[in-house]
Amino acid sequence: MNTGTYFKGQLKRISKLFPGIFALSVVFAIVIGISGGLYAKYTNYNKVISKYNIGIMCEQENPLLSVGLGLIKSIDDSRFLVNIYNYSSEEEGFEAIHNKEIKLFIVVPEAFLDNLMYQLGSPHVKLYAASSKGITTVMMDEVVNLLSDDLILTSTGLYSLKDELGQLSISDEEKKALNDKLFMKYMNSLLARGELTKINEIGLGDGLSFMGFFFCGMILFYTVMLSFCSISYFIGGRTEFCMICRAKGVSSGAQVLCEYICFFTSNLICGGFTLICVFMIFKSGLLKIDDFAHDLIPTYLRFSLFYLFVLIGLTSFEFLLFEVIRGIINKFLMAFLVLIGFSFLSGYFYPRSFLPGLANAIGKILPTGVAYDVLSCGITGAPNMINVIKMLIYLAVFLSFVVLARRVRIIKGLE
Amino acid sequence: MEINISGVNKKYGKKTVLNNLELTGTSGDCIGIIGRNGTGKSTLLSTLAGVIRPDSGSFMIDGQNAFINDTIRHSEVAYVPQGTPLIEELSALDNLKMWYDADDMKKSLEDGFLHLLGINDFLDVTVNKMSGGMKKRLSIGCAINNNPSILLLDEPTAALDIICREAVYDYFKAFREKGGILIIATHVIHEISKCSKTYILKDGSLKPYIFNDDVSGLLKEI
Repeated sequence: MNTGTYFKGQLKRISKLFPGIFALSVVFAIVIGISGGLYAKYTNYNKVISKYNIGIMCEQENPLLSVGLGLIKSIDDSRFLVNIYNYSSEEEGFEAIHNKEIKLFIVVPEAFLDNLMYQLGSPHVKLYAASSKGITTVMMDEVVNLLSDDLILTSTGLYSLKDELGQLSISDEEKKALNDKLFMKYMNSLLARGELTKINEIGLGDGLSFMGFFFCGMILFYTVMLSFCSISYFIGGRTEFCMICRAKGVSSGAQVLCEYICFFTSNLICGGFTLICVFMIFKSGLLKIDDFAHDLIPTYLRFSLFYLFVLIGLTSFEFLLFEVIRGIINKFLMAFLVLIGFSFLSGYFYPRSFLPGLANAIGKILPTGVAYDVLSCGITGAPNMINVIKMLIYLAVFLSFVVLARRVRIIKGLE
Repeated sequence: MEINISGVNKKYGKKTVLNNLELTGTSGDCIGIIGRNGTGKSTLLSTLAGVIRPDSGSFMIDGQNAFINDTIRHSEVAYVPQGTPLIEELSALDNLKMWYDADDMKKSLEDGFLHLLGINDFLDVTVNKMSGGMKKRLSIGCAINNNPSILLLDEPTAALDIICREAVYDYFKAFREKGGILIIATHVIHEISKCSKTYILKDGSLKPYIFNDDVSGLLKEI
C-alpha cells in the first residue's frame, strides 16, 4: 500500500457512490432553481427594499427634463439606488404613496423653470414622503440634489443660455447649431455622472442587479448543499482503514489529500454540469439577468473561473466539517445548521449589508462570505485577486485542520 | 525469527497507558494479551503496528528496531484492528486489489492463505453486504498481503460464529507452522488456551501468566 494505491482506492470508492451523488445534486439544483426562481419572480423585494422608489410629476413635453430622467434611469449610477416613476397628476402620486409603491413623490410645477429663469418668484419643488421610516433624511437630500441640482438647475441654466442665444443677432442655422451643442453638453454632463460616482454597496452585493444578486446567492447555496450529496462518502469512511493505511506508511496528510481530490472532483463534475445547464438556460433566453446581458459568454466564462476557486475553498470547508463532526446524525444536523447559518450571514438569502454591523463583519470573513465576494466579482468583473487569495488561504488552513483532525481520529479510535 | 519488545512507554496527556513494557517471542509463538477493557491492549498493538508512536522503547525484529526502521515494520508486521479496516463500498476483490499485486493475489487465492481463509466464496460481495465473519476473514486477508512474519490481531474472533471462528483458527495454525509470530489481544478463554505465551496487561505493564484452565484464578489476576 502506498499513496498512489490509496488514491486509486478512494477514486474507485467515490466512483461507486457517484451515480447517487450526481442524481441527488441534480435534484438539489432543480429544487433550489425552481424555488429560487419562483421567489425571485413573485417577490417585490427588489422594488420595495433594495431600491428607493421615487415618483416624479413634471412637464413631460420638456425635452431636457424627459431626456435627463431617461438618462438617470438607464445610465447614471444612481439607477442602482433609485427607481423613478413618472406620474401625470398629484393624485396618482399620492395614491402610489398610499399603496406603498413609492417612498417619495416630487412635484416640479410647470412654471418652475420659467419662473426660476425670469426670476418671477420661486414656486418650490414639492416633496411628499411616505414616512420618516422608509427613507432617511440623508437619502432625501441625495435624491433632491440629484433631481434639483443636476437635472432641474442644469436645465434652467441651459434654458437661460438658450434664451440668451435668441437675443443674439445671428442666423437661425447658427442658433440651431449652438442649441444642439448646448444640448450635447447637457447630455455629456449627465453621462459623466456615471464615471464620477462610485457605488460601493447598495445592499445588493457590490453593484449586482437584484437578479444577479439572487443568482449568485442561489448558486452558492447550491454549492454549499452539494456537500450533502456526498455525505455517504464521509459516513462510509472507516477509522480502522485509516489506521492500517497509516501503519503501512500512508500518512494522515496523504490520506486527506487523496480524499480531498476525490471529493473535489465529484463536486466539480456536479457543479460544472449545473453551470453548463444554467448557461444553456441563459442562452435559450428563459432566464435573463442584466449582469450577463452584455457579452454573455465572456462574463459567464469569468464567472465559471471564479466559481472554481469558490468550489476549491468551500469543498475544503465542508471536508473539515464532515471530518470533525462524528456520528451520522450529527454529521447531517450539525453540518446543515452550520452551513445554513454561514449562508445567511454571508448574504446568500438576504443582502449582507442589511444585517447588523457585527453580523455583517462576521459574514465578510467567513469562508462562505469570501466565496460570495469572489463570485459576485466574477459577475461584475471587479478586481478580485485578494478574495481569490483569501480562498486559497482558507483551503490551506482547512486542509491542515483536517489532517490534524484525522490524526486525532486515528488516535481516539484507539483509546 | 525473534522479537524483543522492551521499555515501551506511551502516555495520553497525563494518563500512562503503557509503562515500560517488556515482551519477547520466537517463530511459531502465539502470544495472548489479556486484560480489562481500557487497559491499553489496542494501544499496545497499534504502537507495535506503527499507527501511533511510542514515547520511548524499542521493538526489535531480528536485531532491527521496527520503531525506527519503517521498512522492516512494513514488510514484517501486519495489523488487524478490532473494527473493519475495509472500504465498505467495494467488493472483496476490489479491497484485495488495493493491497496485493495481481499475481500474488491470484496465487494466494488458489492455494495460499487467502484460499485458507475461504475468501474465494465471497469475492464479488461488497463489504457492506458481508457478515461479520466474512469481514474479519477479508480484513486478515488484506493485512497479510506482504507475507508478514508478525501478525497483530485485536480481538480477532469477537462476534464470529463457530464456523468462521474455526476458519480463522485454521489460518492461525498454518501461520504459526510457517514460522510466524501471532500477538493477539483477546477476551476469549478458548483463544487464551491456544496461546503459547500469555501476558496480563494491567496498570500499563505486562505480566507473564501461565494459564491452566483456571478461569477464576485468571479473573482474580486481571
